[in-house]
Amino acid sequence: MAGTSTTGVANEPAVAAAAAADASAKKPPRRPRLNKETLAGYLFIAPGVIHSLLFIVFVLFVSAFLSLTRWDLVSSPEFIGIQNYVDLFSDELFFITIKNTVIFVLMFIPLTITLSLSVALAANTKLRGLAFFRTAYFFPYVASMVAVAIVFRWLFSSDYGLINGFLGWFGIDPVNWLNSCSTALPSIAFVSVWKGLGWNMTLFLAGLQGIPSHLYEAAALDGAGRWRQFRDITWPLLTPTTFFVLVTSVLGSFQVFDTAYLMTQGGPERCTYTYLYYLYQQGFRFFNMGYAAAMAWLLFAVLIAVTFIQFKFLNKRVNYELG
Amino acid sequence: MSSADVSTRVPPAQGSQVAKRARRLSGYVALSFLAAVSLIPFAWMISTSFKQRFEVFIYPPRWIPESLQWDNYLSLWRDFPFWNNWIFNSFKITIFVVLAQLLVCSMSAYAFARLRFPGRDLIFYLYLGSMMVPDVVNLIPTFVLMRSLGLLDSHASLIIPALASAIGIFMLRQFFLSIPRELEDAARVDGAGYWRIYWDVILPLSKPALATLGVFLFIWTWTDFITPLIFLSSPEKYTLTVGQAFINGQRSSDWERLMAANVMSLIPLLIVYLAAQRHIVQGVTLTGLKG
Amino acid sequence: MLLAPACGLFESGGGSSEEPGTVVVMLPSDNPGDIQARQALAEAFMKQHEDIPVKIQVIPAEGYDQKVFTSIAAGEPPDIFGSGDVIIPTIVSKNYALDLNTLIEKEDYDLSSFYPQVLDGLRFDGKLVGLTDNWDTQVMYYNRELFDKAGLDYPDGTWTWDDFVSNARQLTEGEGPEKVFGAVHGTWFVPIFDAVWSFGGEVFSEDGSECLLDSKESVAGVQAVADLIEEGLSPTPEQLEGQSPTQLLLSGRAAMVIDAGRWGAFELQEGRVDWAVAPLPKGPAGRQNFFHLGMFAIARNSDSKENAWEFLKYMVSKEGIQSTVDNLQGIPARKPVAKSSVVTDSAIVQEHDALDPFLESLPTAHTAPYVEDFAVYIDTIGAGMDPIWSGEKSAAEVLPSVCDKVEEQIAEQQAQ
Repeated sequence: MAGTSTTGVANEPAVAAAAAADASAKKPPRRPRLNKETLAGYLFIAPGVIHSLLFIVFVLFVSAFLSLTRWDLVSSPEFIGIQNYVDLFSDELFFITIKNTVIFVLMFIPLTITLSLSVALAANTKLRGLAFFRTAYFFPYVASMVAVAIVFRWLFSSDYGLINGFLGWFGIDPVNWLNSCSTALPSIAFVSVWKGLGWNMTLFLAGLQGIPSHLYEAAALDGAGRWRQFRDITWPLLTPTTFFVLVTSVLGSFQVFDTAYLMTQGGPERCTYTYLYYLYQQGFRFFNMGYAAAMAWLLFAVLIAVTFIQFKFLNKRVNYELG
Repeated sequence: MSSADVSTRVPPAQGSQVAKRARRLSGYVALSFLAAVSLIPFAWMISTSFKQRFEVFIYPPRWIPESLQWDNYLSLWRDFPFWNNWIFNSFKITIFVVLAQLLVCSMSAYAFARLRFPGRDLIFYLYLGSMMVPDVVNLIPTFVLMRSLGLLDSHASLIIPALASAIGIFMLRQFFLSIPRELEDAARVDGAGYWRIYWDVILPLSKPALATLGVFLFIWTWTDFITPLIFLSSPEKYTLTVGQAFINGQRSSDWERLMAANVMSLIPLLIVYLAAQRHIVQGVTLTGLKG
Repeated sequence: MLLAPACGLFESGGGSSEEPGTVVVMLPSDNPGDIQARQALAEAFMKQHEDIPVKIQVIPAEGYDQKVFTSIAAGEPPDIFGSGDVIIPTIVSKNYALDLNTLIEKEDYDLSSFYPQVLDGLRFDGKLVGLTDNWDTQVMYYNRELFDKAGLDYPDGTWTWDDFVSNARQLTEGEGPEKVFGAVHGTWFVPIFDAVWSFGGEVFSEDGSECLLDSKESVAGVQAVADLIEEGLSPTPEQLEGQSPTQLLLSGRAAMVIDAGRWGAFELQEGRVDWAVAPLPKGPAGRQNFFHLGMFAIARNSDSKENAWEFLKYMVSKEGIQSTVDNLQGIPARKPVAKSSVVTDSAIVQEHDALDPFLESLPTAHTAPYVEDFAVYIDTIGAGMDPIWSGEKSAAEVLPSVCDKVEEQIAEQQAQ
């Protein structure tokens, strides 16, 4: 896998053990060796894997099965093969929600990464007072979504909202943020970015800690300015974290639900009706659990594809060490 | 990178000192503005939690209530005899989950990051893949599983499924991958086995990552509503999130008390985050590397 | 091969994890006091019937549907479950509720002290699908002070829609954030259905196969509400800013509100306005007010039917209703309890007249149409009507296409 470097030292015990086994047993070379490292590997992942067999594998298996059924929760599931998937492709709402969700993702990702990274860089010092700022930026993440929805509905209000008031100082006409199709989804994206700031910022902060300071000192001695330092040291070494943030933000934003539901209930006229909201409605309000499961697995396929692309193209650029 | 360069460096001109200060000032202004915006909902939550019903929605919004209604808070204990149980249950379940997951996920992450064994990458990708199915459809199968295991209406039904998670493994693996190998190599030269390296070298170096994951696990478990709602049925076993949901009825909303409950529920989260910051933002020096 | 056991996982055969014979009850919560009140009810019952264990689960309203249906789906169904407006039609048409007639006839159970409309509302296809301890219906709330200030008579049961509108005009005043609206009319499905019905229209045809919202009368009803908004007597969704109409009344910015049933009274009690209740105004086709009937139903595949029946009878007995009446938002379902002093002496009845208008409206109470997939159609209709409330389009323009969509969905559902 790209990015893992090997050093001679790390392999020594393994090589020695392998050599010893080789010499004594004279077995054919293609039989796998259960050396210390392999054994350790399996032991370390064992608790997780045992747990996952039940709670991930079994559960996913059942939900995949459900996607092949028609089930109204009340009677027994009825096997119908891939009919749900076929039906999805002639479902108008399916396409509407996909479109809305994709647009949301495209707005959300660049915004959240740039904003969170900038804030993390700015707040990454031990200066007193910065701890307060960091906690303030973190706060939206844990605020009740209900409260957030109420406050932002005010801020976005076209007649009385602060945002339009602010724009008014610059002579800009009031915008009907939440009730007009063209601005509703961006407004939701904005609120989501703001709410997710705490999560991404904290991840970047933690990632920044892993960059050895002596690299910065050396670069400063070299006459490198702040931008050069960012470009040559910070950004490259932050890539594992950035990658994680990117992958999880993509996964998360494709599953947006709360913000759209609480602020605009999928309106106006379904402009903010997201995929997951529709999925949920199908499962628990319309009693089409099999259909909802099919939607979930279709999303899975999309996310696998998207993540695979991210891995393929970006993993090469992920540096775990410099130079 | 020679010392010769130092002597040829030109001292910065006076003008750029001013520019630097202006930049710093505008930086502070931007940070403060963002902080203010971030805190508005918090201010509204606190303000509303002390209001009487009629002042919740009047316009223009009133930030300072007519009189502080402490009763909004006190009534939570009065009307919900199980309120203390709920707080205790939330703590109990959350702490269990955080500690257990930190251990299990870090073990798996270490193996994925540093050890080589057949199937390593495949299993890791399977974990990643499992993150891509929305939880909603896993609810019923998990319920069926719990029922078959006889764990319904017990806190175990909330703790056991949360003993490990793909996202925890993914997060820690990424952090472990970026730890410089020199320290591990040094330890191995000293004869340390894998467990020793994991426990004495990797974990201490990963405080920011562990603190980060720990904080988020705390938050996610503490604020989880659906799982305790579905798996528990005895009122005294509920968690705080479920308990809070009783404040609103089918058609009416009791905003003041709901905000009071939310504010109360938020305080542990903020405390945990503040405490964790000590580990997350360690500041400038990190490793004890020479040179 | 793997399918059979997988299907088997979801059967409720094998019973729930409770001891056999236990009656598991799931109810949504409306008040903090519900948990204890219902528990007390169960305990009182168990004292009288020592051989019937009852386990009551009071569940927060927010997660109620999900919990009930997840439990049913996973093979742990409740024996008795409470049920609200939107879910009943679905439950009923999926045949999930036990027909109580079978149990009633066996013992000649006396239903006479129930309001007859309650029993009628719970009958479907000749089956009695549940019983209840309370009922509710839509009414109009008004601000007495504002009426006094404008020198107008309070609304009463004689008002027509025109009376309503002309009074509203006189009561609307002010501009901007401090405007007082004369007639705030809710736009969720319940008050809109009322408007449609009172103008002589219908939502669904008798057999549930057609959408009738595009008929002349239905369009007139919907347009009447849209006209209120157009004229500035009722707020646009924007102007509501996420508040409910009742909350608008609470903060003194509405003179009349048509949106809620009796739960609105409890909300208004927390405020400071001098409010009162009146029946809805009569449209060209008379008064029509949505009948809110929650119910307790017994699951058809319950394995403790007889025990469940015993407890259900207790819940809706005079004794049972009397003991929980403090927690009920609606009117007790049995006449003697509704007329008892516990109800008539309460503050909301004495000072704000929160009883008679309801009784007066009972004869015209209109139940929800019993169509399967009701929730789906409500969703489509709601989303489709958005442009009407924001003034972009008229009802006549929008409703035909809404009906087309609904009928498509009906056809799909019937094809299954």
